[in-house]
Amino acid sequence: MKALLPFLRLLWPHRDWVVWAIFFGCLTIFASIGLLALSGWFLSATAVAGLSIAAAQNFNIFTPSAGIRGFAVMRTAGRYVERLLSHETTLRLLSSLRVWFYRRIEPQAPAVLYRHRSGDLLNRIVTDIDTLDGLFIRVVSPSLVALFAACLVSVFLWWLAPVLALVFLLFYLTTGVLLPLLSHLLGQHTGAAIQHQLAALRTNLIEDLHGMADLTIYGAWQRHYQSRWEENEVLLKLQQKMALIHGFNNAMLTTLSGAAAVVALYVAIPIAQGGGFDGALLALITFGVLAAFEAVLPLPAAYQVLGKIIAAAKRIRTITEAPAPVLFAEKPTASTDDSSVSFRNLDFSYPGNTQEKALTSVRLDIPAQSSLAIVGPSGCGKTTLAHLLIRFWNPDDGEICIGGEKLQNFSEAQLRRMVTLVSQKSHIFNATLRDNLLIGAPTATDEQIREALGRAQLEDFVAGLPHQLDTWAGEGGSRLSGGEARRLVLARALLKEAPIWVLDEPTEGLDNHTRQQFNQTLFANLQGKTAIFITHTMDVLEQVDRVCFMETGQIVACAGHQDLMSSCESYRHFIESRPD
Amino acid sequence: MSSAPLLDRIQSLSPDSRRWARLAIFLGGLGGVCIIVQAGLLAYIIHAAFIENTPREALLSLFVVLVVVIALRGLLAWGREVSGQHASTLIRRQVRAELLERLQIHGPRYVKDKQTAPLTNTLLDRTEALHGYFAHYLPQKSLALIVPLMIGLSAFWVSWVVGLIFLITAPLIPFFMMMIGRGAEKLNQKNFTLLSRMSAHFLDTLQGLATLKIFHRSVDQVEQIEKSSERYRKGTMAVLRVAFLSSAVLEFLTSVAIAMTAVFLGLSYLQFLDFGLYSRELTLQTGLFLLLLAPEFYQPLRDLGTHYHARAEAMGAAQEITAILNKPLPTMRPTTLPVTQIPGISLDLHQVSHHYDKGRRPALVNLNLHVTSGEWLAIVGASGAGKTTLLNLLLGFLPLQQGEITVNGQALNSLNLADWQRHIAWVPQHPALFDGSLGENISLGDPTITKEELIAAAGAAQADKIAVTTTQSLDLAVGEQGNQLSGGEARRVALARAFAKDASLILLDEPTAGLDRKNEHLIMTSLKQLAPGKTLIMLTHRLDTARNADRIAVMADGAVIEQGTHHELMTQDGVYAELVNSGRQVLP
Repeated sequence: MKALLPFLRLLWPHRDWVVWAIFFGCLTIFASIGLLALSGWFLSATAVAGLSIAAAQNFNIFTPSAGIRGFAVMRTAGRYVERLLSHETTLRLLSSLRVWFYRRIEPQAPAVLYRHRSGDLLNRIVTDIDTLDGLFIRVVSPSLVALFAACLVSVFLWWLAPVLALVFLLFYLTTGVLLPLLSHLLGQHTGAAIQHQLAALRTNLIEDLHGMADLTIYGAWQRHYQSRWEENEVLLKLQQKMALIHGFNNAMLTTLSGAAAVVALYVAIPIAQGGGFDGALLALITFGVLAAFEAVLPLPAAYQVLGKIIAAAKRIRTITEAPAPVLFAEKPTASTDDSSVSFRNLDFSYPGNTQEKALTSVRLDIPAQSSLAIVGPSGCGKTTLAHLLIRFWNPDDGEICIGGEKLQNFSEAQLRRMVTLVSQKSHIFNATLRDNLLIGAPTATDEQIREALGRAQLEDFVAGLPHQLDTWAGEGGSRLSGGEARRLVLARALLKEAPIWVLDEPTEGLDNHTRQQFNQTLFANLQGKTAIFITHTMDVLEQVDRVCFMETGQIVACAGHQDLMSSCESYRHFIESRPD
Repeated sequence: MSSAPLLDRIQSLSPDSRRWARLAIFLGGLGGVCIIVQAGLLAYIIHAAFIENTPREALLSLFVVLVVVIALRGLLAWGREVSGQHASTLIRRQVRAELLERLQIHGPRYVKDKQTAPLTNTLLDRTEALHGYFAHYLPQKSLALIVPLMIGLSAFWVSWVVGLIFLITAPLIPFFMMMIGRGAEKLNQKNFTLLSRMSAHFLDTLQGLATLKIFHRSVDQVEQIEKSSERYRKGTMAVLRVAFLSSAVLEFLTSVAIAMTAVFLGLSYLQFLDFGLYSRELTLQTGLFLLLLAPEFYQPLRDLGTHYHARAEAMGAAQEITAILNKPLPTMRPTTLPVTQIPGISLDLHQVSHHYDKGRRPALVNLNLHVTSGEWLAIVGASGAGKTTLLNLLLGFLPLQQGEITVNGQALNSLNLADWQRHIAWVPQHPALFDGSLGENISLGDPTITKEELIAAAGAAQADKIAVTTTQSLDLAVGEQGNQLSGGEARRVALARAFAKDASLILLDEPTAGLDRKNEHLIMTSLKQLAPGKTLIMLTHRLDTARNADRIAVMADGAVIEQGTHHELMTQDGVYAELVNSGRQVLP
């Protein structure tokens, strides 16, 4: 429950909505109970009154029948307003929740996200936050309304006869607290097993589909199919077991709420017959108790959701409460126009993986306005090196300097102005082309945008689109071809006009022809900039001033491409055996 | 209520499921009977205790019966849940089986086109999404007609006025169902689109966080997130204000029915009204009975409303599932002919052409090639020359469109595909590995491969980091999709697979990519030693690797342009010789 505190706190700014939503929830359940109870009493009272003509004539029919009509309207209107208000509250919470999460994740990004990227972490975060959205509407509100109904009915019954209140509370608490707890205990193991089995089946299915060709040729598809079938059978069995538990819960819910009314009636009859209260109240008590259980019905689901919400809250908090890996200076203490970059004796290992050094004593000087390519097998540390320069991480030891000034002396705004990154992973947002470009320079005019597009050789393409700059890029730039997407990323980077460019596999995934064309455009735009490439692409290696070959976190050699080819055996072999 | 033909089609996959669905309906119907009996008993007891002043002891047996009926109602609800689950289990089992079988028939290329992740999603999550519809919604749809009908008739039997109060809405029931349906559907669809759009925006922002950071724009996004969720809130509330109306109408009907019943009966008791009871005396018992039935009359409809989202979810899932199920099956090959095995396999390709899409450059154009039994042929060519297409044709993953391929004189088309594939060992460029041990990945579960054979195969594949000499290293875990191994190691596992399989035709796709000189040499030696008499075809874009082969075929633009031994090709002075003389060892 403690895990939920920060999220409950997020409800505070919306307290007015919370209060009104709960008020109308209570009003509705009050009207529901009132409608049935009053109707029951009304029938009994009129039935008795009808036995004698005088009593019938004196019977005040207007107050109760107005009450019944009033409750009927109140119940309908109350429910409608309650649903609107609780959804309004939820939607407001949803907004706060996302903003809250984003504010917390932003300083530590993208380090925290990069490390887990493969495992669908982002999707899970989004799902977790969606789950947390249900905190008010599915947990807080129904619990409070159920509590209200319990108080309302038991106070009234206590006033009639305390024993009735006790009977009611016994059943109500059993149904509202013990039963959900019991079914939770019964289902906990199975529920976890279902999740586990689903995850296992998913991993194995992905592997099998991925390896279908291999499995087919080696005649193993049928065997794997058989294993998946068996895993699926286990899953279905577990789900059936869960349905059994779920069904038990429902059966008990029906039985207990019915039994509560019956037992209350059983206890009430001798009291009424002994003159404890008017016999017409028998129907009121029975119907009132029956109606009160309406408030308990959502509770089992609420507890189930609560479990999920707490789990989601814990996961979210492990992310939001991790310390930010990099803190920037608020005020800059240095500035420079020199765009030379130097790495001095860098040591680095990723948090949580201190055994394996990602970089060891890396020394590298890159003169201003020169170009360099860092080459090496995957995992050799070349991307890490680039990420240290843009301060996604801080090095464990050593210094990085731009224009001779230490990196940590710059403010974040300064560093971002000086260094830009174009990578295969540069994100294209599902927004218009203009919005995507404006990320590079928020104040850019259409004139400037057109110029950047021209330099990226994308102007004709954009001009040919029916909506031009207002065309949507699609999810991850899906409406653009590979080459167009890279050019858009290039144009965006050009708008920023940074003197230092880091190009992390900018042409990865492009076909030969497109790659060559893109590289031509790219080099034409790199005049006068310090460019650091991370790439294997031949045409880049042949054009850059120097190539730096890395292996296992260390720099092996650094020279021009042709020199390296003749002087460095491991480099030549690496280049020749690239699995292109 | 729009029918759901796609869902009907899915249900028809498992006719047995209908029986369980009918059982669920039957149990639900019995539950309806229990509701009526329960109301009758409660009404009688209150009547007896209050009007007749019957002592509680005299009513004890009725109390017992009442409790039994209530418990029975619970049990019936339980049974309903379980039989609904059974129906859904049968369907989901069948859907998964059919889907997997279809995928197998359409083959690896189709699976690759459709991508692993969305297909897994269809097989798992989308199939799970069918559950709510078949387990709950479908039985409830029938019960929403049956139970109100039973209750309405019981009410009619007691009082035609109250019966009328209920039944006057009966012809409206389908109308209201439609309203709930439309309302809920609209709610679901609009709300869902809005929600997924907002979730997508949020996800998009998180995915782009690194990019936003680079441009120092990440802090500004707070405002964007606020704006997008605000838009979502306004849009959703507009939908909800209307959508909640339909359930409010049902709520209102329930309340009005209770109120009208109560007022009518009250007035009848007081003898202000005297009709509608078939001239029978109105007792408290009958009155309470009718009153208790009023809310139950609408309850099944309200329940249907709560299951409505399951329908929308299942409809979406059904579209994806039937899209795969309805894809026409390829014309089946005659499955009779086995491969005649004159020791070894020779291949003849005559005028073979292949187009993937109309308008695109053909991948193969009138390709002719002969491969003699027992020879080692290297096929070299730049990427895009058609090497992979040729390989897929030989593997049987692509249908032959034009030309002829014969195996030992038999048309490849006429062979039983599975039997043909039994004669092939294949080392792909990116071999698939499976979570499990090294040994399992080499044998792929083939029970006929002995441990000794496994060790020998692994040794021959020169897996240096994974050099297998002891049985222990065969137990080395390779991780999910082999993520504990490097690309080069993975290829060596695939080589070991090929060595372990006693196949007459071995196809190798870039066997030496990513290997260092030493390992490359060792593997080439192993390949040479591999039981003589086997036919070996090796695809590569590295000229020095190709030189290991007996014969080299050079491919360009979908055809074989030169072939012969290294020396023959060098003396021919053609493309190959030019490439070798240029000093470039690697084709682009």
